[in-house]
Amino acid sequence: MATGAPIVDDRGRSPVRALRLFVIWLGKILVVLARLRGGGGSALPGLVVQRLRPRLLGELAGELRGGCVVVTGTNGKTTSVKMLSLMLSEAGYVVLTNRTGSNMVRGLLSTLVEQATWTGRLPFDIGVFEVDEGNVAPVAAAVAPRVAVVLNLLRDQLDRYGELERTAELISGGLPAAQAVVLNGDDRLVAGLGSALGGPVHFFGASDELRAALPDDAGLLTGERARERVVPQSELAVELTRADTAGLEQVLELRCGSVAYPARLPMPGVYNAYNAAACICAMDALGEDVERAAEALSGMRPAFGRGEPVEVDGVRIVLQLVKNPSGLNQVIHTLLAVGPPRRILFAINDNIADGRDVSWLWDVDFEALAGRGDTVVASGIRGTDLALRLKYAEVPSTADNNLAGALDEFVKGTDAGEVAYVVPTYTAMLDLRKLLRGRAELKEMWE
Amino acid sequence: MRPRHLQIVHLYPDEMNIYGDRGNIITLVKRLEWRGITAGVQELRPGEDLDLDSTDIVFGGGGQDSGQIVVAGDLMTRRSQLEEAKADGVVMLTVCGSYQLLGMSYLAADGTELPGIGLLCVRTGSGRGRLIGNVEIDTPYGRMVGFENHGGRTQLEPGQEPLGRVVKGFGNNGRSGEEGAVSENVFGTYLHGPVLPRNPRFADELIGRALLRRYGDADLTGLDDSLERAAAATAGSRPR
Repeated sequence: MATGAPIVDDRGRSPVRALRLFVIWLGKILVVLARLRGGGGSALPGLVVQRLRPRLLGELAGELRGGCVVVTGTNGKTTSVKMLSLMLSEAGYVVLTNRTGSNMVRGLLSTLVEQATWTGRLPFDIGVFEVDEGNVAPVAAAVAPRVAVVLNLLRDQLDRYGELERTAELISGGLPAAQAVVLNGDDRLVAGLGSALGGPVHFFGASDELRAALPDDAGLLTGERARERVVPQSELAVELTRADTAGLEQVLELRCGSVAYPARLPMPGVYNAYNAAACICAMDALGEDVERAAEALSGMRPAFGRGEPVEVDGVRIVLQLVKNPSGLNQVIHTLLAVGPPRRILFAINDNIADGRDVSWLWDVDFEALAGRGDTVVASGIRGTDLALRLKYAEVPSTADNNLAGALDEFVKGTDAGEVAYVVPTYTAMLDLRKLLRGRAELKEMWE
Repeated sequence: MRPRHLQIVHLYPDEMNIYGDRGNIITLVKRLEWRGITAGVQELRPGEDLDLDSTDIVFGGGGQDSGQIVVAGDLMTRRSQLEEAKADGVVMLTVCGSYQLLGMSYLAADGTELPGIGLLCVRTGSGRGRLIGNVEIDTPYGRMVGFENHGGRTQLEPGQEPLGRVVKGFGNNGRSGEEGAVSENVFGTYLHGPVLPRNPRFADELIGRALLRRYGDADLTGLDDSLERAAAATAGSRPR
């Protein structure tokens, strides 16, 4: 290097070394090539750059002046990342986030490489990353998050990690690398992760009344069973004290210390109110203005496939992604609030991203739909498995594993004034996106 | 025909119910009801009283390690009662974790070997990695499909009959080609799915055996199982 060249730039950073820059360039080119081949997020560029430069994830994360926040848990990661990034944007930060399909080490690395400039910089202030439960330890070790948020641990894709306790262990391996940890104080397994930590632990939770309406793993099958508090109310940094639903909106009240903040959240579902509490708690842990963060919630919009209506061939359909029994139980209860007869198309796939084991369908309370005169279609690769589950719940349905045909019939049979619900698993949702291309206005998946 | 009734006991539904195993109870109850036979289900929790004289079918599902530890001790206190029930012909279906506990020994989460209640002559040890995937087996009750997910490797003792032979998947240990175990009316298997809905012939075998024991005949009206067969065919077509 020439002696006259500056050692640091105007932000105090040393120049990006040639080798690192080469790897970033290679990664960026691979991202472009992967795009050209079709398909959104690809782990391949991440895989290649990780091989060539294992410490690149940490180096790129180090570019973020405001550090980063990682969000994990079985349910609500995507929505929570969106909420948190909205809150941070309102607070004046330029926020970098990743997508659902890129929440493992390589996918995240692909995202960072893609977002890096050709000079090897990341032009963002702070990162908010959703991280797959099994990837928390390697990601946290590399990026040293300012805050790690653990939303919940509900039965999800157990065939990948074996057991919930094992999933908790995998997460706990990553928590010591975080400066502060935000934990669900009402979830037994999650709250337990705090006991062995040296750093600050911030718990969020809900009032007794609201907790009764929330999913937890032990209460999955009984639903109504009262749960004892895991973390005492007085130790909650943030408590959700009110969640009144009106249509697709709800009015929240979040207690932070001795102050109660009102908030308007334009999304239904108590589980979304709970995600809001987790995000407020994270903002508190980051030392940000909580009141402003609560106000920011009014700008939330559902992510693609998470409860927002789309117009298809002149009829309105609501796409609602499901990933596990608790999620599907929530959807069923939300549907029950809509007047019958309802039109519902379930699309159940068993690809790796969905979880290959469809046993979970038997943990879902489909019996709640019995005797209501709804039109129910069971589709997807495992459509017949769902139809069988519905048969034993005494819910009449038609089975058609061919999603394209089932969707056409379903849309054709829907009247202009009716609202139809399409409830897919993850890869079935990707299939639906392809089927709906050109027939409906679709937002990007990660919007 | 006189009214018939079967009484089912669901062992430890809180601790031992993962992978939708309660679907087996739903299947038994519905397949009885659809034939005009009433069914009662008692959920047995640790420490509660168990009346096996009035019981026709006992079911136990798979559990996580934490659940297995809690119930293992409780099950041991009922050992002689369950031995008598077996001798008396009570039908028992145990899946995964419950199957292991019914064996002669199994490996606890911390690696120590603990005695089981010995209703099935099997021993469960450990191995590298979990055995996970779609599984198909050939049994005297036809080809059966399911999904397995277990860390334990189960070996049959000499003379112990398996439930079936592995066609696809791992089975008891991934090597022997055997899946599950049967001894009189006691069945053990690693098949989740859950096992009974997509294998109606096996479900009816259990019901038939219980009716034969209680009422002296196993006369069952046929049911339309086309959806069951279609779901089994789909499962069979999926990769391991």
